[in-house]
Amino acid sequence: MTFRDLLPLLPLMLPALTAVAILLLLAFHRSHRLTAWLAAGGLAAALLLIPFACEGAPRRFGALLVVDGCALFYTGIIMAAALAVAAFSYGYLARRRGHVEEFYVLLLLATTGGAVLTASSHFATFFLGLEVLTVALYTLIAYERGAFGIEAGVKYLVLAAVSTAALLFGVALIYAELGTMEFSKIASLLDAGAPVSLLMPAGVALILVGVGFKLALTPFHLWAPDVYQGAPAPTAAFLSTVSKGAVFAAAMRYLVPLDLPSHRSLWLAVAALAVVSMLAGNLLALRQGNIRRVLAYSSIAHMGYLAAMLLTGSPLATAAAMFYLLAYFVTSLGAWGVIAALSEKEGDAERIEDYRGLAGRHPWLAGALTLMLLSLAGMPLTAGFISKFFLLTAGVEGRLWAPMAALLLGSAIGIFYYVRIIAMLFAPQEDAPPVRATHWAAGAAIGALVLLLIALGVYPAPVLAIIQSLIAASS
Amino acid sequence: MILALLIILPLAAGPLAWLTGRWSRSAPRWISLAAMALDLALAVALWIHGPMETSWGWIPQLGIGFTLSLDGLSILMVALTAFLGVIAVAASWKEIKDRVGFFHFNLMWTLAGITGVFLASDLLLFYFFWELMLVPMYFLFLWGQEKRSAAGMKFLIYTQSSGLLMLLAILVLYFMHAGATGVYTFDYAALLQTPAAGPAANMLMFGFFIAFAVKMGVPPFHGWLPDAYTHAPTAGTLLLAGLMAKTGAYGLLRFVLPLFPEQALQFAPMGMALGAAAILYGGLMAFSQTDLKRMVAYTSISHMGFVLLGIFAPTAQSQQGAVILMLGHGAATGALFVMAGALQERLGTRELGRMGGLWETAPRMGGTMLFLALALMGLPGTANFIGEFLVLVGAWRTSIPLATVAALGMILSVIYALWMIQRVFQGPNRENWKFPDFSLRETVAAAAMIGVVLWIGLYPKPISTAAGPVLDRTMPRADLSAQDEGGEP
Amino acid sequence: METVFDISAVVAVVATLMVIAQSRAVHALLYLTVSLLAVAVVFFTLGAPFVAALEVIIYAGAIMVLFVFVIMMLNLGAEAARQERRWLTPADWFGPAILGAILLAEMVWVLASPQSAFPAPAANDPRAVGAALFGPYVLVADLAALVLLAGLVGAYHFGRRSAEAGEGEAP
Repeated sequence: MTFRDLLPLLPLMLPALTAVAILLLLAFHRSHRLTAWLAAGGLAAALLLIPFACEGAPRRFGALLVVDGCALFYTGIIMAAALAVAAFSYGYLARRRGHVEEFYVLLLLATTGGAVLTASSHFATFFLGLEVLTVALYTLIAYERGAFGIEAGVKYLVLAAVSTAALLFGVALIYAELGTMEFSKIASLLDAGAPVSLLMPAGVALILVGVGFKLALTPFHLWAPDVYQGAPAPTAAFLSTVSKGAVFAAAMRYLVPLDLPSHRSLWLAVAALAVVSMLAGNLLALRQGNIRRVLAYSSIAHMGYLAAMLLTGSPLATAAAMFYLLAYFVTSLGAWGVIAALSEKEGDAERIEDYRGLAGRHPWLAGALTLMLLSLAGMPLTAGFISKFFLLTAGVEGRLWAPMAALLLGSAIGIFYYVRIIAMLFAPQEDAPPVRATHWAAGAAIGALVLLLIALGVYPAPVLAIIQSLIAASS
Repeated sequence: MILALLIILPLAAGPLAWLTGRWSRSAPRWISLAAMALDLALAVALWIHGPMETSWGWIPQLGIGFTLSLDGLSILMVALTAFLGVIAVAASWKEIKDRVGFFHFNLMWTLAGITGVFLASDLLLFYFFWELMLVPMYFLFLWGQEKRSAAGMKFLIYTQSSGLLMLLAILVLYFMHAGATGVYTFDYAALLQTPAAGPAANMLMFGFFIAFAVKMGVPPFHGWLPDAYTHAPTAGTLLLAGLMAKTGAYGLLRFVLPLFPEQALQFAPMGMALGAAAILYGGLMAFSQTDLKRMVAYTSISHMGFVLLGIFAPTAQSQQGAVILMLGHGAATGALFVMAGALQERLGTRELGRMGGLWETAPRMGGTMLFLALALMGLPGTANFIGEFLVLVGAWRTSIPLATVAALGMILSVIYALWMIQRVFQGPNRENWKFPDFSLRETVAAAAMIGVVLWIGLYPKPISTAAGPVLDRTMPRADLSAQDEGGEP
Repeated sequence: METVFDISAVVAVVATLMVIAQSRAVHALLYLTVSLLAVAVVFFTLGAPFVAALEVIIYAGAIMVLFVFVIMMLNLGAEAARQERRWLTPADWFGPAILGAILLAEMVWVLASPQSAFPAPAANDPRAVGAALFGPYVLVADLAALVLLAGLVGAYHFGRRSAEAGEGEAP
């Protein structure tokens, strides 16, 4: 194996190598600054390597991994998201006491897990990628070890373990039925009309349960609000973007070759999950008084919108889903970044009431949060508008009337709670507490996200062209 | 490029106003005023120049272009937008005292969105601008009256959700067009050729119609309107009533009838009935109001009923009448809202019951109000008269009963207009109000609006020569009108 | 062979349920050991004696010892010893003992039955497993290492609790 052969794999490996390097460093010298720089450097290097890796793509590594254009696209946005999370973390953790360096190690490990998920072509790598991600997340969620943090961590631990068990059992059933764990072989066996018994749909359904848990699709969403509330803000940012995005990418890779529309009952199951998530997520978000819970429920709804794209499997739907994921990453990271930047030593700014008059106290952060919320609501000039439009276009193309109706209804409901927060930001407030300066790293990350948000919202054609060429190359 | 400039001017003035607002209170006002004045000058120049079109690629993968086109109908609307934009800046000169920069940012961006709506010739671009004006408009409610946040929220939810329906309809139309021709495009000119047929086409037409009806405030889609008009700041109400209601009517003329000719003709009696109902409902509700702004809001519903009636009549006269009424209503009702705002600024109340006998103190305001009341009732010589008259003539030929109902509405308007003048300026001054009359700034603004109403009322030819050919070219005509008019295609 | 499978599967499930139901770590551990042994029997009946052996050696053996070791380190002093004596009532060891006895009986029965009753062991001798693990599946082995690393870092972070509390009170 020469360096050239290894090049496509490097972006996936670099974060893990960086994590090991940091661990070695920590044995000799503890420095928050140095650790953060190392972590950011590793992620940035991985990100920079991706264009070069694309030249060697697509490349198979045994039956385990396929590093193709789409996988590298997802890996790229995962690395970028992890970089943003690292930027948020520095200022956030600097205000906390105790050891903070392990946070970056776990962040890097979880990122590796996510990246492996997107490139997995075999249940073994799928499962292990998921496990690396999940096990690192247990600690990241409960990192502050406060009462809420521990509760959130334990909740996530128990439910993730259950969902992993379901997923593994599903994998076992499929293996029992077809005798292979490779995605492509499963698809070709099914295409060739291999006789399948009830084990097969049961296995796929169990895998759906596992994936549904990770994406927090209703009715597997129960952990999400509590975990989002209890976890440190950077972790929540990671959880709502990288964790979900990686699992969605893997689900896409696994479900699209299955040709969902030809399996009626499975199709109905995914459609039901999508529709229920859109409606429940938006409806439940209405009554929340905590911005973290609002974002949790909103994220459930957004995953519902995305899941609808699994239903057609057309190239347009795939492109729409990829673009949506990108826009969602930018938006969600931005919103959580503002929450992280506003956090105090003891607890975060999390009640919506805490945000009253933020526009007067901290116009830049308030402006950024406003843009992010508008994007979540799908207002023009933001990435959210274009991505929702793409989603609707693909949905109409695939004649997904019920999911699209739910999407419209959900969006209409969504306006209410997003705008309620915006109204709070601009409400007058007399006794304004003093403003703490945002750390430059978090500020830069939020600024970059805002620019990206507007760029995607105003002129999405180049990004769309890249996505379409990737899809054309890998199909 | 010149067309894009119409949009870019306010779009650029917005951030500039916001930034300068940090150091100076008057800078944002002057910047916005200059931007809108330039816009107005540009619009007038383009009116003289004639139709124009520009097109750039935007999202070519899906056949979306940044296509702007200006014809006789849109130039009228763009000119009205720029004109009312100037008035809106002037009307809020003294009213807005805090966060002046941010206010003007939102004002400029709302105007940019509205201008974009009137210019867009690509359905997705149209929808983009349609949505773009909502958020800054919502922010304008921040400077509004008592129940501003609830009113703003209601406005946003009504318009946004109806807009989503329209988006769905646009997308289905897009795929129907692609299915029929193999060309994926959102271009308006191309989509005009789409043979939309069957029950699906009916649904699509309703998707568009509901979005436009909500903006016009046609009952039963008017739930947001009275609150929004009442509790927005003066400039906001001016924009809502003077311009946003027009975007709905413009949408009907530009999209619903040309894109779905057969379905629209089938639906026409229903549309006319809705218009007639709006006329009566608005007129009757106007009587029972105790709040000046709210009352004007209901008269606005009534007038937009006339517009709807004229559009769906669908004869050449009635539609020209509708266009003239749109302009006249924009100026006259806009001026009434400015008047209501000025009164509230001085009295601190909008309650009709607490007013009365104000003529003594403020004769210039009284004179303006009297003229506006006359315009409201459609006195000959005002734009409203020409508009309503043409609408009635056209409607009479399609449906005599509905025209009769509409004429009844005109009688109602005489009563409530006089009653309004009576309550505000005549009678005893029970509370002994004393306040300064119109300032020079306000006098000029009022005179400009009165001038427009009079000009259209006395010499409407430029309007009909601008809009007439466009309407004749793109509108489906009911059979009877084709017979009557002989040579009409 | 079917019966052996069924019985040990039931034993595994029952023992695992009992693990969760216990309120004391040591008692849970007893059941956990039984559960792991039962799973080993399940593997054996499925024709995977190598995995069964690994299960016994690594899980029921090494990892259990580690657990016990840690628990012993936490309970120091005479008071703890007395407490342990109080905890070791027949009621507590009776359950695991019965389940263990069932497994023992199965083993005796298997040993007594003829060779042909066993399923032919698949080609999963240590050499083949090792070759697969460090051949085509080397990436999987690496990923598994990352899982363990993540767990380790997490355990380290939570394990520092007491030291942390002292640090916090100092200033």
